Amino acid sequence: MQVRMTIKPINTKTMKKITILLLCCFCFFSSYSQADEHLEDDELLWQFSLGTFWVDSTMAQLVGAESHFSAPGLLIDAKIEYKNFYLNTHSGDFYGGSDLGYQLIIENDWGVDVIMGSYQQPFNENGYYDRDEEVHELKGIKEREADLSLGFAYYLSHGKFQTVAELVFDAFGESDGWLFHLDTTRNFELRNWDVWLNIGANYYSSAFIDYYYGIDADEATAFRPEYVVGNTSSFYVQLQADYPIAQSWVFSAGASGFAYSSHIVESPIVHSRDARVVFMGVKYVF
Amino acid sequence: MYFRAISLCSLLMTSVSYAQTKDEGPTEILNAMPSKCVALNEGRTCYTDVKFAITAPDIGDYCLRESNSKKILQCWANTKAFVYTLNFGSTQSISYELISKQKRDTLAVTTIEVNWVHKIKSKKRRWRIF
Repeated sequence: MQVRMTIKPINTKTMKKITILLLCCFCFFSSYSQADEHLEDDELLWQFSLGTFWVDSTMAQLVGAESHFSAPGLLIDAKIEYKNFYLNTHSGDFYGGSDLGYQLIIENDWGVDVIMGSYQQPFNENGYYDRDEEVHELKGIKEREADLSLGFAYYLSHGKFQTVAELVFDAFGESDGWLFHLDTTRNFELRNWDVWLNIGANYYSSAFIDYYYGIDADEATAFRPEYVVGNTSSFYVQLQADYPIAQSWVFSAGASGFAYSSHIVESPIVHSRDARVVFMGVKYVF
Repeated sequence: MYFRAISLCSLLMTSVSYAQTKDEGPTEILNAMPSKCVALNEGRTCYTDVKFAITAPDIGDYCLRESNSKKILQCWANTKAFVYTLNFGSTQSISYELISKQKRDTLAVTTIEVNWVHKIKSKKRRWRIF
């Protein structure tokens, strides 16, 4: 008699629960074991910035949708630190978004954090930006919400380079996928200027990227066939320069280039795989 | 009441006058522009070109030096007014003083303050594309 064993794949909700549970356990035990080794700074540190930036961005183009955006914008940044927790929010400049983190291991040259943040731009049948004009080619697609990913970041400083490797799972979003992010930054201090050169790559699991650029059966039409996006990578280069104009004023300018791997354009809703951003502005630091 | 008001005004004027005298005293002899240097973060070396304008009370021999290290920047002989440009670069505020070579006195002191914009230096610099 032949016994046939089948292993049921873990469903995504269970995967989410396991991820969150593991992270919570890891955070708890890690902070407990390190409590004696590291004196935590009880002081609440905060810093807010308010400014105006001119941003010119061209996103990876969705078919029929506007992907170019050029306008002055308001910038509101917040940086809050308490004990091992930190919250960084950026808006207006090109590495926008928010990061919530907890520093698990703090060593001189390296560290490990638990991090939570978004990695992917949301869009809907109107494209990336909310506009009144309907995009015919995207009509009928479901809304792609921003991910809210949770995972670990490993930081390593070596000379004037800082490298970070992040492995995150979209625990609170809709994609049920994971992402690996690798990034190296070189800082050049040119008198009072700070210049940052940044090179990085992302590797998206099929589930993660398919949520954004795949076409489900209920979205398929005669002109938009059902499509599944496989594992995908992306690469980018960024350059940013900061200069202190006065005691509370900073001038910033930067440029960024980004490209997905070539097969992304096989998706029926993707027209181009590359993106770029240029920005310039001033901010007041409180 | 009238007397009180006059007294208050007098006190205020005296204070203002004293403050001005106190401020103007050293700046008349030793004036540094700019007197502040701003860096992005604490601990960063702040660079600026500081122009010292010196107007001594009498003709004589003078030197400009760092207050703490007593390192001489430059000396001038048989003059009372001169200008010196310093390529300032420091992580902290530094005071400079004008001394008279004959009297061995410190005639004036001025400080180049180093400030920084960000109170919190990012422990981590996370980058996002969009």
